[in-house]
Amino acid sequence: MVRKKKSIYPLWVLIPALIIYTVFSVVPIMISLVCSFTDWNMSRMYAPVFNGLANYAELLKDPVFLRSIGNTFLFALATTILKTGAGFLLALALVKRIPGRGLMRTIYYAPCVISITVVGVLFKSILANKGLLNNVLNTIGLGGFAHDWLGSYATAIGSVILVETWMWAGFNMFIFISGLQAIPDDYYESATLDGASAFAKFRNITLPLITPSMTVVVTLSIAGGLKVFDIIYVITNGGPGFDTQVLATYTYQSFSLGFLGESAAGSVILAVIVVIISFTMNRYFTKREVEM
Amino acid sequence: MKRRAKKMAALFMAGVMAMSVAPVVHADEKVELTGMVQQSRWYSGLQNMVEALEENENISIEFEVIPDDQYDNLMKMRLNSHEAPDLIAYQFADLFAAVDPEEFFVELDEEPWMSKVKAPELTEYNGKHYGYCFEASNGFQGLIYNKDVFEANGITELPKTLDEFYAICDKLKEAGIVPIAMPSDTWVPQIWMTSGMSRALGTVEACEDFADKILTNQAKFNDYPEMAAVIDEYLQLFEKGYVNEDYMTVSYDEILGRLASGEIAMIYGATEILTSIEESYPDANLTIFNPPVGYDDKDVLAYLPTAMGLAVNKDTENLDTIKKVFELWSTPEYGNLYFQSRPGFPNIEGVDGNEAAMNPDIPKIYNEYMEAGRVVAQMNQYIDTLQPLFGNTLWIYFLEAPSKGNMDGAAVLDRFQSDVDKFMTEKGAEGWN
Repeated sequence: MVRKKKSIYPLWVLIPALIIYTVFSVVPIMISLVCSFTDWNMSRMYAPVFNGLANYAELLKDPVFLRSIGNTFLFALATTILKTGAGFLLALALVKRIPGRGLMRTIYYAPCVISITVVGVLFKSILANKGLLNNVLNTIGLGGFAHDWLGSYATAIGSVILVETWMWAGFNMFIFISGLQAIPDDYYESATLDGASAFAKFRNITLPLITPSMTVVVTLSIAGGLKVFDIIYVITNGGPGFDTQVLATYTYQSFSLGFLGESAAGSVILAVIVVIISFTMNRYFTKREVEM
Repeated sequence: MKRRAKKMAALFMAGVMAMSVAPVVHADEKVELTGMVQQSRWYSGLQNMVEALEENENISIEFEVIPDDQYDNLMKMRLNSHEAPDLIAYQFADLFAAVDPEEFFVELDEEPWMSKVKAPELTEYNGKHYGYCFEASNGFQGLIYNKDVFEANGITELPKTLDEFYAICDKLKEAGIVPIAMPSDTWVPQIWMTSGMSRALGTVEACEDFADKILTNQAKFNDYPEMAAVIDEYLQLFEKGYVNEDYMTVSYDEILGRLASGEIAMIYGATEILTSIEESYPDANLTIFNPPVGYDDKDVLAYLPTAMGLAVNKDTENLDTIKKVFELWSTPEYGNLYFQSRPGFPNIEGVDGNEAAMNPDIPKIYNEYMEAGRVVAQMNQYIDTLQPLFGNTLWIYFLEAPSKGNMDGAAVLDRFQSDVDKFMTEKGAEGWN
C-alpha cells in the first residue's frame, strides 16, 4: 500500500506569500533583467529600445565599475572573515556562565540595532581629521599615528570594514551561541572521561556541530557584504574620489544619472554574483554539517 | 453602581470622540498643499512665508525636505510617474535642464504678479513662464574672506594680480593660517572652475558660442586650452600648500566654522553663501572680493543668473489656491519675510530685500562690475544640459586630481569629455548620433 505523504499545512496557505513575493520580488527582477538589455533612460522614459549587451559592455570597460567589483569582493571577504571570527570568539566567551554575561551579550548585540545613519554620523566624526580618534592619539602621545582616516583608500576601506564588523559581530555571536547551546553536554562529558584535551573537544565536537550556525552566518555575511550599500554611502559615499565605490553604490550613481538600462545591468551583475557565491558557500558548508 | 460607572465611562468616551472630531471639521476648511524642497534650500525665509500663510489664510504647505543628493532623481521619478507634489522647489532656470517644463509644469504668464517680476528670464522657457522665483539673482562668485584675519596679518590691500594673491597666501601660510579652505562637498571647489571658465572666455558671446559647440559636439573641451588652464591654476593652490590638508573629508559646515573662527582665511564661494554664513555666524567679520586670476586680464565678474523658486505641478488639484498663494507672496507683507534674516535681491517689485542688513560690499561690487559691463554668467549656466553629470563625475575629478596627483587640467577635461560623450549619446542629443 502506498502511503500518502501528508503535509502539515494545506498548500493554499502559501498563496498570499507567493503572490506578494511574486509581485514585489520576482516581477521586478524580471523587469530589471529585461531593462538591462535596453537603452532605457530618464530622457526616454517610455520608449526604450533593445540594445543587446551594450550596457554590459559599457560597464565592463569602465574602470570605476571594475574597481567597484574589486572593492565589493574585498569588503565581502574581509567582513565575512572578521564578523564570523569575532562573533564566534564572543560566543565562545559568553556562552559560559560568567558574571555579567547577559549585560555583555546585550552590549555586543546593540550596534546592529543602531540606525545606519547614526552609525555614519558617529564614525565620520570619530574618524575625521580633527575627530575623536586623532585627538585621543595626540593626547596619549601617539600623534604620529594621527591620520585623515577617510581621506585615503587603504584607511577608508579599512575603516568601513571595521565599522561593519563592529556592527554585526554581536548579531553573529547570538547565532553561534544558539548553536553552541544546542550541543548536548553529554558529548563533552564523555570526551572528558576519555581524557580528551580542551582543544581536542573544540576541534572534534564544537567545530563540527557548530557548522549549521557557521553556514547561516557565512551565507548571510557574504551575501550582505556583496550587496553592501548603506555603510559605504553614509561613511565614505564612495570616496575619496571613487576609491571605495562598490557595486551597489556604482549602480545607484548610474541610476542618479538617469541611465536606467545601465543601472539595471549593474544590478543584474550584482545579483548574479551574490547568487553564485552565496549558493556555492551554502552548499560547501551544508555538505560539512553533521547530525547530532 | 457598576452600571453607573459604565454610563460615566460611555459619556466620557463620547466627549473625547467629540473633541477629536472638532479639529477634523476645522481641518476640512483648511486647504493643504504639498511641496518638495532641497535640504540646503529650505531657507528660514521660505519657512516664515509658509507659517504666515497658514496663520493668516488657513492654507498650509507641507514641504517634504529632501537631501540634496537625492533630490534630482526623486523629482524626475515623481514627475514622470505623476506622483509629484503640488509645488516643486528648484534652482531656476537649472530646472529646465533637468525636466521638460512644457510637459510637467503650469504656465503662469497670465498671473497678475508676473508684471512685477524683475527677472522674468529665470522662469522663461520657449517664451512662456513656468515658476515663481523669490530672488532675481543669487549674486556673484568670489573669495569670501575673514577681514579680521587679513588685518591681523597686516593685509590691508586686496590683491590685484595673481602674484599679489600668491604673496598674500604665502604670508598667511607663514603665520600658520590656512589661506584657502576646500570642503569635501564637491559643489564648493567646483565654484572655482565654473567661475573661472567663464572669466577665461571673458564675454557672454564667447561663453554662449563655447557652450553651443560643446553641446552639439562641434568642439571638445580641450579644444579650448584656457579651460585646462583654469583647472591647472586651481591645482597650483594645492601644490603650493595653500589648501587645508583634509579637503577630501572635511565637511562644508566644519569649514564655515573654521572661517568664522579665523583658523582659515578664505573660501571660494558666492554672495548667497556669504549671506548664509553671516546668518549662522553673526559675529564673524566676513566679506567677499573677486580674486585676480592668471587667465582673466579683463577682470570680469562671474555672476549667478539663477534663483530658487517654485514650479507648479500640472497634475495639481489645487491650482486656484496656488495662484492665490503666489499672489499673496508677491505682496511686501509676505515677500519681505523671505529676506528678513537673509538679505538678497528680490524678484518682485515692491518687496524689500533687506539691503540695509546686507554686507555693503555685495551691492558695491555687483553694481561696479554691472555698470562696467564686465560680467559673465558662471559656466554651469551655459552648459546646464550637462548638469546631471557635474556632481557625479566632474566635481569629483576636481578633488581627485589634487588628491592623487594623477591628472592635470587637460586630463581632467579629457576624462569628463568621455562622460559627456556617453551622456549625450544616451540622451540621443543632436551631434552625437
